[in-house]
Amino acid sequence: MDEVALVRAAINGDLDSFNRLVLAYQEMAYNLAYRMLSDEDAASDATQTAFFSAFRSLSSYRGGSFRAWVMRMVTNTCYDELRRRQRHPTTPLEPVDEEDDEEIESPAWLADSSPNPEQTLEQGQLDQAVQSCLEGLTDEFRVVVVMVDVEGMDYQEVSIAIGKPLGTIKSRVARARLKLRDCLQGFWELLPVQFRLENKDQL
Amino acid sequence: MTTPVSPDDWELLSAYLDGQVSARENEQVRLRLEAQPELQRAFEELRRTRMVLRSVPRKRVPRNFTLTRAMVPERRPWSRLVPSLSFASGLATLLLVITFAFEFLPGLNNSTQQMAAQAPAPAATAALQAPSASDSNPSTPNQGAPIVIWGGGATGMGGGAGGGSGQELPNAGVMATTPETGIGGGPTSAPPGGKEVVPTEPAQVEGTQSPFSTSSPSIVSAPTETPPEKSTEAPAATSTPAATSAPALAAPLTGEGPILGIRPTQEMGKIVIDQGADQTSRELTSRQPTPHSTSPETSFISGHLVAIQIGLVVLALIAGLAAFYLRRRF
Repeated sequence: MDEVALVRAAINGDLDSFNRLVLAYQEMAYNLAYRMLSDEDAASDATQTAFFSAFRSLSSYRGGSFRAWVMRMVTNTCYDELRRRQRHPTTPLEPVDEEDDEEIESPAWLADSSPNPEQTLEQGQLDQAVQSCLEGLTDEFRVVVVMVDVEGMDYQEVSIAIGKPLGTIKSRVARARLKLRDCLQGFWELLPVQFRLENKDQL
Repeated sequence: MTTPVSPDDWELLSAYLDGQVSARENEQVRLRLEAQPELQRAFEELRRTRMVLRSVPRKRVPRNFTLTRAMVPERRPWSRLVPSLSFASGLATLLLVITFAFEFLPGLNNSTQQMAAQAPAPAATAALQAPSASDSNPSTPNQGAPIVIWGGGATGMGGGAGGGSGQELPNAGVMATTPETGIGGGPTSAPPGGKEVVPTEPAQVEGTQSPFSTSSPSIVSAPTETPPEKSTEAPAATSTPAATSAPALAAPLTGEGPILGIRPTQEMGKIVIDQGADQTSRELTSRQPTPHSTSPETSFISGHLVAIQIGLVVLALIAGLAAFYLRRRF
């Protein structure tokens, strides 16, 4: 059964058809949520919430790319979570010592726990390096570059997914790539061998 | 390592890398890349950046995100009516407010009464014009019972103007007594030369007492030289009701007279009964709509308005409660 028939059946209330669509797009949705939220548990919750919202909002689907429509649900769910984090930050500004119930004066807790380039080099994890650079982008730029470069969506789908015109997508992709290029300068040596050799030639 | 490339070129290169440029732009970028080494370097940096992003390992989903029946309650056909019921309830409430505003707001209420009064208005207008028509017909009973309608449009308070014209135009001819020219006539109806002017309606001229004519002959030749007293008397003479006698023509402007609603001095203390005029006036009074009277059309509209309001209240309540119940239930 093709996607159009599955979508039509899902709109009519067929949960099995909708679940087949979920299986087809859940990896993409989860990865997008993870790149947006930088947390696996939050990404899992957001993905589940997005599919739940998608099923309840199937009547608002007006055709076109169903993948882009699902990614729009994921994006909106991630935006909601990011706004919730801004309203309710979980990291206290002044940690309290559990023993004497006094504020800790040592600034050790202020140290950035995220890996620096050297640590990332030691860990050898390209994924964390990229994620670290992605976190440096604003939400609007991050979602666009993740969709285009990480998930491989075309501009038209991204335009549908975030509800912005194509010109905005082009501009945001270019500016996000420029920022990522500058950020990834310190991680070039983390790149696989084929990239490093190429970088060496280019540099 | 940073390449001095303009932001526009960066955007163009980025779109070119993704194949999101037109054929003409594609050819232009290709030629520029061959000619400009710094642009070629920037393009390579862009391409490598994208390659790195695409080489990021994909996360495996921790579990399937399929939905179960327990997570999603089965949608029943009744649940689809909730939006329609909510909309119907809101619309009924809005219309109810509009009908209340239509009923209670002064401007809208007046317009309603005016709508209701439009039907009898032509009849009243016809009644207002009836005297002149009846006077033109000698066989009518009101032949000798002229009617004076004070403030009645074109046939109304033209007396003042007529008097004025009499003063300023001593050579004015006959003060035509046709209803169209008003009592005493107007400047436009006073032909020069002092000639006799036959009114357009001969019935008013010959023998019949026009509503605005006095007991003197209907056709009055104005003297070539009008004495000042005469001209000053003109307003009183022209403004005197037709039923008054000739001496009223000489009544001075002493605050009495029809303009002020007071009989001339000569008639004070007398009982003047004008059966025809009184009867016609009663007819006119009965035909003219009064602000407080309720015409059948008004009662018809108000009766239906109440019915509409009751229906809207019932519809809003039923639809709203049904939508609320279905939303809570499903």
